[in-house]
Amino acid sequence: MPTGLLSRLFSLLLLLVLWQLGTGVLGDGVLPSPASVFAFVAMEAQSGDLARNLVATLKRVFASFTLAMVIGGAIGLVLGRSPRSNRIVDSWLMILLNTPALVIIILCYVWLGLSETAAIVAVTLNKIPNVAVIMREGARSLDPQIEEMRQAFRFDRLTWLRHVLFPQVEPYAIAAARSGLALVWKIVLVVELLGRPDGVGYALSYYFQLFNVAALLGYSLVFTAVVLIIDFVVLQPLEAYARRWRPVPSAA
Amino acid sequence: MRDAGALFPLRLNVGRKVYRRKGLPSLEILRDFKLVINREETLCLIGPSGIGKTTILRILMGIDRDFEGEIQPAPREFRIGPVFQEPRLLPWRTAEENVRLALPRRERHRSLVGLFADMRLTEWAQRYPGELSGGLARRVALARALAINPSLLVLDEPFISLDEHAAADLRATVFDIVARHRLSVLMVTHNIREALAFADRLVLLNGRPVGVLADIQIATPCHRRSGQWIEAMVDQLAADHPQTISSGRATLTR
Repeated sequence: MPTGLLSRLFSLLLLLVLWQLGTGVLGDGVLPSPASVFAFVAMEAQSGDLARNLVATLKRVFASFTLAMVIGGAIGLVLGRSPRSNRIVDSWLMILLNTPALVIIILCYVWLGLSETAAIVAVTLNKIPNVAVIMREGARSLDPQIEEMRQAFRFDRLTWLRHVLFPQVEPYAIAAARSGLALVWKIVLVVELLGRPDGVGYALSYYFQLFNVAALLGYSLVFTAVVLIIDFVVLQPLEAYARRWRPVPSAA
Repeated sequence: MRDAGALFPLRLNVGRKVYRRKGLPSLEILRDFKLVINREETLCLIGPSGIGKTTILRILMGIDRDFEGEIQPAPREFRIGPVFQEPRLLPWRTAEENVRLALPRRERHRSLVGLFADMRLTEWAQRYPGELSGGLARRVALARALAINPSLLVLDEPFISLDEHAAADLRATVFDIVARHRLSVLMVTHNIREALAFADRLVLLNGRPVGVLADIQIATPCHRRSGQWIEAMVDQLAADHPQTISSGRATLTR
């Protein structure tokens, strides 16, 4: 087994031990033991509630993540390429970037009603400026020598987009996706907590009212695990694929 | 696209070309500059570095459009096969894809096997540029310029920053291909011996704004130019243009 994996396992094991010790100090009511949290997860899984809430949340994450990547990515590329449009849109972007997520969520619910659309729009709006800013950097960092080359060879627009622009902004898109996923799922939970009848956020608000700490920890753990798996199974291989042409850095 | 016969002579007339520099006075590179390129001619522009040779090429290639003047015929009427000082390959595409992407969309399906064989690149076709040596990357860049069947091959100091062996090797390939396909070539160099070994016509540039110091036709065919012949020519040029060329060194001095 590689040492990286071994030390990672050890670190997780250490966390469990510390958690158990914490339970001993604080008591099961404040910090439930790992065993009681896992027992809750097993029970919730058996009843089907866990899967139902997870699926509802993941659907929202997927929809708003996709929308934000496409819209934010397009905005960012245009702004990075056109200084004139950037001068106009930049301040709007800064305002949106610094508006508290909660304000955007509440406004969406007020304007669009307590609906699925409002929930997804709210999350998307929260994430768009973030993606746009990262992608704008990508569009600004195009290699000027390669730009000259494609002008001299008169690449058509589609060839330029596919073979010159996208490969150069790919690392930025992946960075935006990875940081985006982490942001989106947190905001989705808040959206659900405030105005949805299902999802992990809804479950958390429900168990919060019952002061059931084991349930809160259980849902949080399961959801974190799912997000990590998505990162590991989807985003990391994507990143490796995007890097395939880069020469392996030498030991020097 | 016109046929090559109607295309030449190709005329570049630049009334004025100015470089605007932030915080510095702008620099007038070209004023009333005229260059005529004839069909199947190998024309070498030589002059000290920084004089504006690359600017002339950039205008011809359509990269630099911020100038007063015109190119006849209009650039869309002909194809320029550009070879830059650096290979400028797309690092995320293989050697073959790099060459293929330079082709217009309707020609992309064309077989490149012959070209790659000609360029001795067959075994490297599926490699990424990062896996190629400097010499091989230049070779791919040259193949890319040749693939589009250029009306005019434009070489911007294509052999610099290569080691002597790789430079000689690439030079031989270029000379051979140019002679075989009777290509029209415009090459920029500041290596006078390289120019004398290759060119049918030398245009010596100097001054600011750049002026044509001398426009020399060379009658002796390439294969009859011995090392001795080249040295004699260098000495003569150095005597005629002492500010631009010194016979003692391979490169030019101001």
